[in-house]
Amino acid sequence: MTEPSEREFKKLNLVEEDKEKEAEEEAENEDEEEKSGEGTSSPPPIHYPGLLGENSEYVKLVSNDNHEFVIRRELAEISKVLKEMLRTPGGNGSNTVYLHMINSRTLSKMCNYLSYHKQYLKKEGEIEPFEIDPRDGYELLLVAGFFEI
Amino acid sequence: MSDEESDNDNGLFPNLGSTNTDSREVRVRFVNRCPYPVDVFWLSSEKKPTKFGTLRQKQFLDIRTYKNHPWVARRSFDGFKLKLNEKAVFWPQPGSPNVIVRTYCFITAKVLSLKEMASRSLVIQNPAIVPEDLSLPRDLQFDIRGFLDKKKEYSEIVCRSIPPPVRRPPQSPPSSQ
Repeated sequence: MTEPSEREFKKLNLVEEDKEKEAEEEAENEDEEEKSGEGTSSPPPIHYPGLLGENSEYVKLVSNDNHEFVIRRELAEISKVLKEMLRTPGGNGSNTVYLHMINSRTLSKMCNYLSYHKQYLKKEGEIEPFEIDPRDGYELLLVAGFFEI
Repeated sequence: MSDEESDNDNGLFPNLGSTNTDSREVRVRFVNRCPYPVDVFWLSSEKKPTKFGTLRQKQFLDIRTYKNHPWVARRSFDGFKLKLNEKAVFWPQPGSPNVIVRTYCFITAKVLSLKEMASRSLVIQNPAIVPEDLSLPRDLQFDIRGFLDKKKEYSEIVCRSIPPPVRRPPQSPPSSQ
């Protein structure tokens, strides 16, 4: 019976080391899954790179029913009130404004108006009408009065 | 004071009137490019508006006017100020005396604030609205009341507006037999 050479010993050791590493990695993955929750059904949160920083390109408006509206900062700053909300002295690092008094339907219409205002304010010629559902008139009036738009 | 300034005050019509310093005739076609009916007014020498017609969407009105005769357009529903060729007031300009050309004047709308549009939407939905009965902040009640008052004033002006003279074809004398 021939004794295994040093080279063969090294090969065996490497294979064993690889197996140990794989076992460790599997154990780590299992720990992460346990920490994240049962199963992997929840999708990872979406991160908008344009929302970060003091002068981010986008800002987020959240309605009272947790609908999020990500719009351009230049549109949001059409309203001086919103502009002040975004530039609080303490810093609004997340560039998010929680609007607990506005539902998603009204906030959606408000965002549509901001876009319409930007598009047509300096446009010459015929402009598209901005339709307002009669059921939304009262809520929109309150919102428009508050945000001064 | 420029035309924009004179038409931007709180009055429904600018403080302008026609002058008969130039007798050159100008032919104009007013085209409504708004999505609602509009009224076309000529401002007389007494600075009083005379309604020449109501145009539905995409309708046009052909008139013969003169230089230094100002024209304005208002929304039929509430007297909201409109633009004529991107200006508040349209002043006809005569062209070459040897060529008859009709000048086009396009009536277009301005971008309103959301507050104004929402106020109008409320009034359209309920014409008999009483702002004081609504649970609104005082300043919004005041805005709606102001809008209703202007709408009423505009209706009165349109009713008082003397219609333009109607041109009738000359009557042929009865033939004697």
